[in-house]
Amino acid sequence: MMKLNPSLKVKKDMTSPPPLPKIFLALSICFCVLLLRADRLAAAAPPQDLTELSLQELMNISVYGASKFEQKLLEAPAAVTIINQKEIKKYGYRTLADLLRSVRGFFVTNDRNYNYLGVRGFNRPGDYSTRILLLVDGHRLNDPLYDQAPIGTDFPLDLDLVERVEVIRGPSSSIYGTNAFLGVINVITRSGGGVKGLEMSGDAGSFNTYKGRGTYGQKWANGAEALVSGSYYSSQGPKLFFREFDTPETHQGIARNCDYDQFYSAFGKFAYQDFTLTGVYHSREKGIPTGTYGTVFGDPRNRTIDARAYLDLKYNHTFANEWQVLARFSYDHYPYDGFFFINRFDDAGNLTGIGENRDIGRADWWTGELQVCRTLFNRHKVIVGTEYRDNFRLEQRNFDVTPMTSFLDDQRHSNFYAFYGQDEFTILQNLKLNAGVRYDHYSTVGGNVSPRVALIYSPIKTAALKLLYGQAFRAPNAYEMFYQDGGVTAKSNPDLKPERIQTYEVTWEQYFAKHYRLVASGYYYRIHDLITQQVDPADGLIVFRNSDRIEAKGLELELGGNWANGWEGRISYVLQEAKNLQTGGLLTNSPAHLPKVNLIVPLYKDKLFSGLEVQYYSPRKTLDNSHVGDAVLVNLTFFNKNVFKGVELSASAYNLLNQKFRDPGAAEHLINGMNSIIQDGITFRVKLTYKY
Amino acid sequence: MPLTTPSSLPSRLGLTLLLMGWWLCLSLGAAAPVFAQGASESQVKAAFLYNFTKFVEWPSGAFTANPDTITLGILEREPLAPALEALQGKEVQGRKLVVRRCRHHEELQKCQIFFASAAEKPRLREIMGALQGLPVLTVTDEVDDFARLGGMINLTRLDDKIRFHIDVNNAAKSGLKISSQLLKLAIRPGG
Repeated sequence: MMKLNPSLKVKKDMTSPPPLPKIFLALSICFCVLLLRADRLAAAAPPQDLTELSLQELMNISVYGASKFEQKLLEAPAAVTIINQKEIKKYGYRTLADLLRSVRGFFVTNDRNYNYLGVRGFNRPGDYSTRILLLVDGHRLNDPLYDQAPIGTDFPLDLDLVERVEVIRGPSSSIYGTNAFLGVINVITRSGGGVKGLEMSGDAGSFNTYKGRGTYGQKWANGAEALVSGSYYSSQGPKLFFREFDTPETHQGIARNCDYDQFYSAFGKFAYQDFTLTGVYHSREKGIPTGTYGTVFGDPRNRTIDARAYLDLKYNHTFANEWQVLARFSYDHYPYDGFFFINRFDDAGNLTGIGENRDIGRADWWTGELQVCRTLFNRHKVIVGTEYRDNFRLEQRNFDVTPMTSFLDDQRHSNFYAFYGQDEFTILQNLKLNAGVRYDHYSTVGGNVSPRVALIYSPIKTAALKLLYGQAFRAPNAYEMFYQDGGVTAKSNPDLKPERIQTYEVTWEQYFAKHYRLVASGYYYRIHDLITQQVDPADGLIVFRNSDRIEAKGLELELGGNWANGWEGRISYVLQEAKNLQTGGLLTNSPAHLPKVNLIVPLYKDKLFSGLEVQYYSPRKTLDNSHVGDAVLVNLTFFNKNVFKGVELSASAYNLLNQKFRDPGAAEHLINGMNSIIQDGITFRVKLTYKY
Repeated sequence: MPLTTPSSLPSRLGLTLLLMGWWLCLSLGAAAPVFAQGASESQVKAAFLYNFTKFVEWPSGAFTANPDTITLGILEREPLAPALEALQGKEVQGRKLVVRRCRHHEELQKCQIFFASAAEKPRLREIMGALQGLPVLTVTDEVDDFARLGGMINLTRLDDKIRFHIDVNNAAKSGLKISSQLLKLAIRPGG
């Protein structure tokens, strides 16, 4: 989010990574064996009808509260994954990024300042996860300055407060508008009634990492519910070695006390009858150990502070069981502060001292939303809605502190309005057409239409074939349009257009042999006018332009299993290729193969469980056309509950094989010749939760 | 720049496949069915209610008015109504289940099952009073003092699971017999 050195040329993607055909072959065999086995076990009861289950089975079902997404998985117009609270505990997830790493097709890059989310072969270095929409209980988190989806410790919610996470693949701009480009992640929070009392939790981990949380939740007889929670997190971070800085002037490449991370957060949710009021405040301070943007290496004062706060009032009412009305009014506040310390030289080139540069972003916006849902003629489930947002403060500043020199002071406001409609038409009992379209109008870039059509066919009750076509867009944000510093290094581009995507997808989903769920997807995406950072050859200034055309295609397979005695797991494999059509080169930071395994094993009755995760990342291309090697990540958690009444204990090891793996870096790292960023080796955490 | 080359790949791939294979063997060995994904709370609670009917014995006189049906009475503004109404037509002890929204006590008195959520708590004392001694199975949702009000079964959510309490005395007063199998699964009083 800060100006770049103009001499830096970001090289275009040109070569292809080493091919890895063996993985595909091996995994295909794996799946074939499973399918054969499945064939013999087939003829299962349909899992949809709960009344066919016994009481014992019902007592084992995890339930969730109401949300916008109440469709059965088989009927959703997308390939959906749901991760619930139980899995969060048993796999020992610390952040939303940990959780999303386990989801089929998703991959996360960490540059030790932010975490970046990739899917469908797409995770552009230097991009703040802008092409994935992140929602908390339906409230949008992507801000209007940078469009960032915060998934690391900057995610404003303690993961302990999450009831489940719904991951919806593919474009959903036809309902949600901008950012719903490659996928939507909706995080559903726990309810006061679900907590019922006081909950205290504390954990400790490697590198002096500690977190504490206190939560109180209650549901009263009159139906009112409340949940309040506060968390504090602090991590000293590891001592890191960077080979790129291995010189006497830069402490032989060692960064001490530079990778610290700290946040505090507060969350409150109050529900009475049809109204829900949610309030969130979160502030995180993260040290930057990588000497980005040419800052002084090893100076622990290099850091960013991101805060997110919002108030959201939701009204949800069903009139006479026919009209379902959802209205939402919210106010969001997002301040960002970057502190960067840079060596200063006099005209003769002698070091004169260290100067402080500040990079500041401020955004405030309010949003109003109204949605009506009604079933017509028994066969049409119609949703119509409208949304208005006023970004009444969009402020970007960059200046040196002493002497006070301003490079950027940009104050804006913008707004958009949108209308959308969707019809779920039950043509035959086993054939549904889901068609939707949304029109967005931005004060900055004008109008934009996003359609989506899905045909869902269920030849048998336990299976569905989904044919999906969709278009989505992402409007350029204030940073991309207006960040400039008076012609020193960067210039603005107010003529930016939205980037657009067209997608085709086929998905087969099937439940079989009572325990299994199989999902197979193939997709083909085309992206036009991709907003890309580049250097204008005419004046050497950095500018965002609608330039690249991208083609992405892939194959995703997943087999999930679930047993009453507590065993559960999923195994998935993704083969993907994302290509720049102009240069013909493959995209950077895009692994071709992503196999994953997740498994929960009950070790002792209903008391002790183990959660095992295995993730493989195939080599990824870096900005300078080399590669980071592949990696196998293994995480293991032991989870115990009720050894004493109300106590939950867990112990986790992350990166159990102690792999020294690296994630590709962005342009701000390449300035120092750093094409990739070292990740943590093995780390540990223990956690204790007590419920009164 | 010393980059990791794909030469280390076979061992990593081998490891990955080994772990996957292990998972496969283990998973195919396990048994006993369960619902594959999470489900909506109201649907699960409705399924519980349906299951309860299999474990309750009504006195012979309870069905004299209409021997072919068993009626579930709910209140007009019952929040769980959509899930409960989906039970319409299901078979219970050889009878067809009818779900009826009731306005008056007289209508409820003709039912064999009465279900109410905590939202209706202000009216519950009065309604339960009207049902006193009648062969009506009374099931409540999240009403902590259901027993004191005269209720027989109360559903409650603990973490992400649904559990239930039973008050045998209230059932016995109305001439209903609750099977010991059901009692075994209920939360023990005080527990």
